[in-house]
Amino acid sequence: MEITTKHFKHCDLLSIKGKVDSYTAPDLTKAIESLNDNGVFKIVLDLGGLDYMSSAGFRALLIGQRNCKRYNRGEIVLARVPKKICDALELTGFTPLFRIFEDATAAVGGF
Amino acid sequence: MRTAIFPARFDELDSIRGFATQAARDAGMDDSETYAIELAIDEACTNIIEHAYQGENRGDIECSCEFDAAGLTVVIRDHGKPFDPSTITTPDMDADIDDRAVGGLGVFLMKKMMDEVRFEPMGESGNVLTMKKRRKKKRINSQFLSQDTRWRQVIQLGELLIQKESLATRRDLIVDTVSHLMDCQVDLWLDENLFRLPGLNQSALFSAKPADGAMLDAFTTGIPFAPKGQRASLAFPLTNGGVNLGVLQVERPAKPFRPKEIEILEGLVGHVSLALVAAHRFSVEQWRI
Repeated sequence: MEITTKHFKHCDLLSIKGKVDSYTAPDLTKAIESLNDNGVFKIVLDLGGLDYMSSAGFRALLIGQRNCKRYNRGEIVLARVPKKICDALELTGFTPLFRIFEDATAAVGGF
Repeated sequence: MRTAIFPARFDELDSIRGFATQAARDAGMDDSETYAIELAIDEACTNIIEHAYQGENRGDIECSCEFDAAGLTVVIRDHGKPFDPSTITTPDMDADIDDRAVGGLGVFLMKKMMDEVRFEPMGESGNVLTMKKRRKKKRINSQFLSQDTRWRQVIQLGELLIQKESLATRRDLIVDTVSHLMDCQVDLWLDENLFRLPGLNQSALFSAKPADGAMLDAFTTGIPFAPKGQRASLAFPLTNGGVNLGVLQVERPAKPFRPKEIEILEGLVGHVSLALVAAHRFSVEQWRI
């Protein structure tokens, strides 16, 4: 898994590439937490380059969303979610917890 | 059947998924079925590391994959703490974000992704998990099967035939496998007298002679029936040691068989003939006992 961060005026964009499983999910959690530590709670996760995500990744998203939404200080939105990953998120009831955008620019503009 | 053993560590999950993905592709599963299998196996192994071994590097995970005409079966063994599936509750999918449980998703996903999930705690010796993914009903377009994959399936067919106990199940396996492999209509006729067990009053599966002219021709001459320039319907005799055992006919009017496919079919009838004779000898031995 590879994560790159880009700073925008109203939010930060995290682009995630590769595979998120029990081995790599802790790094995703850390990446979100380090943004939170810097006072950033409005985050776009661009999943366009993602090949695979297991429930360990879903948990990282859930924990991240909880922290970001606390005190109404922000939220995580998802962009470019690959079809098969979106299906699994839907199946586990995760889609109502996130706003999902078809492209990253629209997601960034949404804040 | 193929088996691999992996150390129970999270950094091995990628290799475990790779192993499963290859098996799923060789079984002719499509992308979404392959992804489902990948996800189910990942979740199963993650649970083993977290719950059965309660941490990394405390043992091994043995993963076996086997496929047949019905689909893919995955068996995963560990030597950790017995796992009681009844202790796992289905997570509440409608709960608020703050009440959403972070665990329990793995088993739920495994059950959703696979057609059958069975846990067997084996006490001291660990756990056995069996998961099955059935092939979709739709015919798989055989042009997506590589030559390599087809040869592997031919060899596997021989092995599976020997395990089947009756002539009827052997016949079904051959017909199913060939129709899947070549995406074609299949007719099989066997000289039942050769496969009959003495003294048993079995009802006949096959007519006394092949009804189809081309099949009869191939059976009596022992030479494949494949008239020049006509590659949409072929009949191959099944022979072993100079004895004609039967005949296999394949038909695919929409797309005549390519020379490479004919090569595979020739190899296949050889394997099938050998396996049928071996399976019959085995049945006779069993009958004697």
